[in-house]
Amino acid sequence: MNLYHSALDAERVTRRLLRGLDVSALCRSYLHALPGRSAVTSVMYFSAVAHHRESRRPGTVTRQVAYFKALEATGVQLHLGHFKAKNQLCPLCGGGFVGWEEKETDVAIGARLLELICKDMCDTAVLVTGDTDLVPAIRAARRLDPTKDIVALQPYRRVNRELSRCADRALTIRVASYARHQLPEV
Amino acid sequence: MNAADAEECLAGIDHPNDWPRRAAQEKGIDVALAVDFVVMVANRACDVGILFSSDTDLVPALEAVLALRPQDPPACEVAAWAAPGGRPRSLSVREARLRRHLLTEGEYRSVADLTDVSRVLHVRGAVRIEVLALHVDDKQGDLPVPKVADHVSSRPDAHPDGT
Repeated sequence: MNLYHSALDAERVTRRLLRGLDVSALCRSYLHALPGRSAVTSVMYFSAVAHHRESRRPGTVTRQVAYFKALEATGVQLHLGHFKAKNQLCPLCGGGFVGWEEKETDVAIGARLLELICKDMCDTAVLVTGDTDLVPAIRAARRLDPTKDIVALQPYRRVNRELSRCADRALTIRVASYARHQLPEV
Repeated sequence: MNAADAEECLAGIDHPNDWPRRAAQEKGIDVALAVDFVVMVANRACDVGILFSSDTDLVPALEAVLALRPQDPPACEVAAWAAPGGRPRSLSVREARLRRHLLTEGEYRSVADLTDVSRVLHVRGAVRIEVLALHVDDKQGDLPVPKVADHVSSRPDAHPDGT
């Protein structure tokens, strides 16, 4: 979702449709920024189907599922969490409303990162996110195996200083990269 | 619980600007807990890790432990409160048989920590206000000395409009 909303921000700036990201190609395009001769072993995509948006924007779920299928076709492994309703209070008027929170995604990313490090399944792990909640996961991964490189590849306008500081290397995805790595129209 | 412990607990809590009118929110606690759990079990710092929570966000942590230490019986177990009449909301992982511990009200009463946390929180609130006040003082130090007061005190009869 972090990457998706970043792509929407990029759309507002460029006035072009950029949400059909080819995540696998986008990740591969940053390989040159990593030290040595690296190859991608796997790309994992963590998201959740936004069923709650369906009533306001019909077709959301269909479009999302189609996009996930397209990603899977490019070899990306999908991990889907879910959205959970949460009663929230408006900070201005104090009235209550129902907000929706993406659940499981951050923990799933953190747990998967530690699993990869513990099982020695990679030399470098690249996290494509700007979510500070993942800082403890990065710190733990570096503690577990200091020889592994943890790279924070942060989406456009989703740069987080704390995340950049705790990773071995921090990069930011530029808008031009979003435009260059789009899935073909169906 | 002393002030240092309270500080540590509060580190992961996000206080909105108008706190305490609006409730504070936990920030990233779930990831931090999941990370500690996976690291402890992976490093074999324990034989069995028991995850005491009903937060389904933590299920990926259990899955990671099952993947890292595939053994029988599993290296992780779950625990949850068992309220009388209610269905216990203990965590479960698909296709895994986790041992489940259910804790009752009696068990809660025997371990309850009766510290009044709100008092510790108020201490923190006071510290925060002090820091803000310090900032204000700093700023005033840079400002030119207020002249109106001098004027008034030295010439009490004079008035700005000349009367």
